[in-house]
Amino acid sequence: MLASNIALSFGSAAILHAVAAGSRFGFDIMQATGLTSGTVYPTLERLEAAGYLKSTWEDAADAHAAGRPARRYFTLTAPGATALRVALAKYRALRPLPGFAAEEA
Amino acid sequence: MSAGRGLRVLVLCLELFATLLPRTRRRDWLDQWRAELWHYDQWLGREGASALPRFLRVLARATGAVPHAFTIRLLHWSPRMFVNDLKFAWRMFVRRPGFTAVAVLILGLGIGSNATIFSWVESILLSPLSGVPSQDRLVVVRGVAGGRDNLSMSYPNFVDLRAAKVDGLQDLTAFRVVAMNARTTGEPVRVFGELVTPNFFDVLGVRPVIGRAFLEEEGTTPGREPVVVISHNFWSRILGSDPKAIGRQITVNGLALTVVGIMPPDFHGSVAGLTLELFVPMSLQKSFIAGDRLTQRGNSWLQVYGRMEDGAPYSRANAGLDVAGRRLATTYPDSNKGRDLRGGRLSEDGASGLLMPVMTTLMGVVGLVLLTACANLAGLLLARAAGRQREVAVRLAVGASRARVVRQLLVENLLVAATGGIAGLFMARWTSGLLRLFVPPTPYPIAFDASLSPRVIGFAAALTAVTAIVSGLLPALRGSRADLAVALKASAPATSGGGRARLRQALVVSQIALSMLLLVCAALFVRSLANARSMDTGYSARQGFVGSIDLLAGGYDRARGLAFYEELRSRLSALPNVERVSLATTLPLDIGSGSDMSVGVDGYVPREGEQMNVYYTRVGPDYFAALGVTIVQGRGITARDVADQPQVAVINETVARRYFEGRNPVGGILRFGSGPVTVVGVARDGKYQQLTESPRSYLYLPVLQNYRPDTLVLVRTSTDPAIVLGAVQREIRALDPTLPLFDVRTLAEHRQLAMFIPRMASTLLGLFGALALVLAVVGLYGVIAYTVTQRTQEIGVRVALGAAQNDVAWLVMRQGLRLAAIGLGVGVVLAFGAGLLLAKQLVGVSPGDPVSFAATAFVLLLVATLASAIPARRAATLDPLVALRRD
Repeated sequence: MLASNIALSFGSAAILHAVAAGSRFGFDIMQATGLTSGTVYPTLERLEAAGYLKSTWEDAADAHAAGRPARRYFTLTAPGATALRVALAKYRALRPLPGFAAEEA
Repeated sequence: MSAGRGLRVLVLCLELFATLLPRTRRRDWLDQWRAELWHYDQWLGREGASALPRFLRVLARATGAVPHAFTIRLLHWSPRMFVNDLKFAWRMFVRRPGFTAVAVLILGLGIGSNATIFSWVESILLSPLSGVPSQDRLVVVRGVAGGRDNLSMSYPNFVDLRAAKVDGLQDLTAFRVVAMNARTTGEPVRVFGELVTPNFFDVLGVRPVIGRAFLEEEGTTPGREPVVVISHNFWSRILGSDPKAIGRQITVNGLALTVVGIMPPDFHGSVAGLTLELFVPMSLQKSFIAGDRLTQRGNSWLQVYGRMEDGAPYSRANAGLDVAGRRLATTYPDSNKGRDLRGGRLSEDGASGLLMPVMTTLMGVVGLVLLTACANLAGLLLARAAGRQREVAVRLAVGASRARVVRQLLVENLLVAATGGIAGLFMARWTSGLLRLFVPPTPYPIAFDASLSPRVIGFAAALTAVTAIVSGLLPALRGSRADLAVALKASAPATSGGGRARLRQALVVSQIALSMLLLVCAALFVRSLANARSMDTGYSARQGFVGSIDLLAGGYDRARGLAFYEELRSRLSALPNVERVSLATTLPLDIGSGSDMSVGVDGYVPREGEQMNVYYTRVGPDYFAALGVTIVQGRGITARDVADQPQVAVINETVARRYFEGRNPVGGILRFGSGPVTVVGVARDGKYQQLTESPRSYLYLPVLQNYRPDTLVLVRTSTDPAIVLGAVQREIRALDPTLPLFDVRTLAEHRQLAMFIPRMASTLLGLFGALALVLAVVGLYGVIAYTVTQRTQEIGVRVALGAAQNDVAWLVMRQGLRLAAIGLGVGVVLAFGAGLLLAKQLVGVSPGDPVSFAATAFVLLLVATLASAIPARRAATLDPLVALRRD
């Protein structure tokens, strides 16, 4: 279906990459990618519609206990993982460089 | 606005906007944005952002909600329905070109003025340093001691601080803005540059486009061939874009420096708002600022920036600085005791800090203009909703839900608003350059670069969406509430909505009140300006000019400098058309002029806790005659007041009154610094810093006894100063070809300086006031014209029964004038309140100045009369036959 023939833009790839790396909600993804809110949110919406991402709302009681509004968490689907792999092969800029590994885990 | 309250208002706007989304997705979208803004706001709080920038950043982030909403619509809505809405909206748009044009104009002006001011705020507040990447990662390091929090740092302290590796900071750089005399082949030029540590460009994150930056060792030893990095502007302007500029030598402050690098065109140095041209390494300090400052720990003169480590929060850098500051204080208690370090934001620094209050006020003013525009458009839409009542009723009758109708009306308004927003951006493209009007004419190379960045465009887009909803929602909700049975009846317009009419009237009244407010303030400043022009400032010289000379940059010591001053005076005095020549370190009413010191007066016992602070300037012989300041007693400063003679001073009348009450001030003794100073004369009081100041104590000291290497040369001429200037410059060049006479202005131009604030305020307030007035008049006209349409039948009956044309016209006019009168009344109260707030800036005008109020009220009433006269005339000339036949 849709999934296979959507070419991922660099921004979309970066967002999928961030989700795969553990950034699960909008603000966190923005922090991780440095992209603007006007890019991240619409892209998340499109990626979910394309079936690459799945979203769930955090339990309201948990969020309340943590003293913050509930977050909408995104996770990578199987087609999403495939798309990310294809994108990482295509976008050499996203590949890790020897000597530039992040210092913190 | 506090961040918390700002956030709540934002969320409220989002809630309004949510009505554009499909019902099923509204909650999701809204909750997601609520969480996003909350997280971001909290994060900014932890980073230590202050209230206004914090709110602006959250606002900028919230703009993402708009594309997000559109994406959801496109993905989840039946596209057909959206396209239908848009198609229908377009038909309505073009079917009423008059309405559309007025609405687009109104919104264009409102959004345009807001986008303009935002572009200024952006360039000043959000990214103050042109060409410097990730400015929010820069920290301004300031010393805090004795109640002051913007102290500079000494070089040894900087070196230790940098070596101590402050936690949270990658690196630190120190710099100091200095004025320089530069010479290539021809005329010497005066430019501003910076004395910097060699890592300066690395910390800022900029790199030369040609050549290289400084090497670490160039910071400590000048080497055989001292180096300089030049700005792109200097390269193109002074070196004529010489392709072989690298390696070329230029003479700066008497030193032959080799150009090693050229910076990118958009880089203007490290001080917000200043255009700096030359960058020289710290090791050359002695040629740029007096004294050997690289070894003295007690001599603070450097500004310091730090770059934060990636991912380190602002709070960590600040804590790191705190620790480092205390360590310095313990290690060097002599010079650093009680001195803390604190990190600040770039936007609070330098010229940005200076312009911040102006910008905040302006944001408020344009906010009011946009509010007026929204009120206006809402009024127009309400009127139109009345006209479309039957169409809406038909839609409802055939089964459309009310939400569907509201959405349709909102989409229509969004289309209008979007067109208005685009018009506004076109307007802002031209007006954003007007920022330079706010730059006071100082000798400093101040320049702000305001342009339509993506952030400004995003802001305008968000504003457009908010405007569309704010102005459209109420009319849409009202318009969609048509009572079917009534609306579908033929006589509907005559009986429709008393509440709606009242709402429109209230909107018009508020618009008139707002324009009254702005125009009265403008009038107060216009009157201030007139007063300022004719005001007695204490000096009477009218023809002449002043220019600056910097002997330190020319490499002079005290003895040579004094000799130069003598020679200069005698040469210039001999020129034709020169009446008087003198020197002064500052002129009255110069921007930023005024040093003060504490003095003692023999025979005067200060009251408990009295601060005897006196402002002073150093002047050359003949100063009072040259500037036309009257000596009321004793004598002025003469050529005999030189270093080996007794120290003398001239005081002004205020000093004489305050400290020599009942005694003869001439011969009195002042004490400051070393040794007694004898008062030899009393000069008439004048205005020294502002036209609005109350009389202040002022002291004139002979510059020949109190040497300063930088001075103003004051030349009073008997003819047009422009004719004399060339000869004066030739004489100076003959004395020393490396010394430029810079910052030259005529005395008339100098007088203009003092009028900067009233002139700027009257221009801006007048402009925005006129804008608000146009909007208000359009609104008033709309309301009256609309009621005439509504009352056509009634008027027809009156005419048929024999009412005279005048009576009918008066019937209509009366309504318009009543609204104008109420608006005026409210406006008078508001304007009086605003006047009280502005009182400090007004020159010789009281905040309740009857002339300003009466003139503004007259203009408003006149325009209101015209606006209601047009529909009144139409009503009066109605043909009763046509009117009565209308259904």
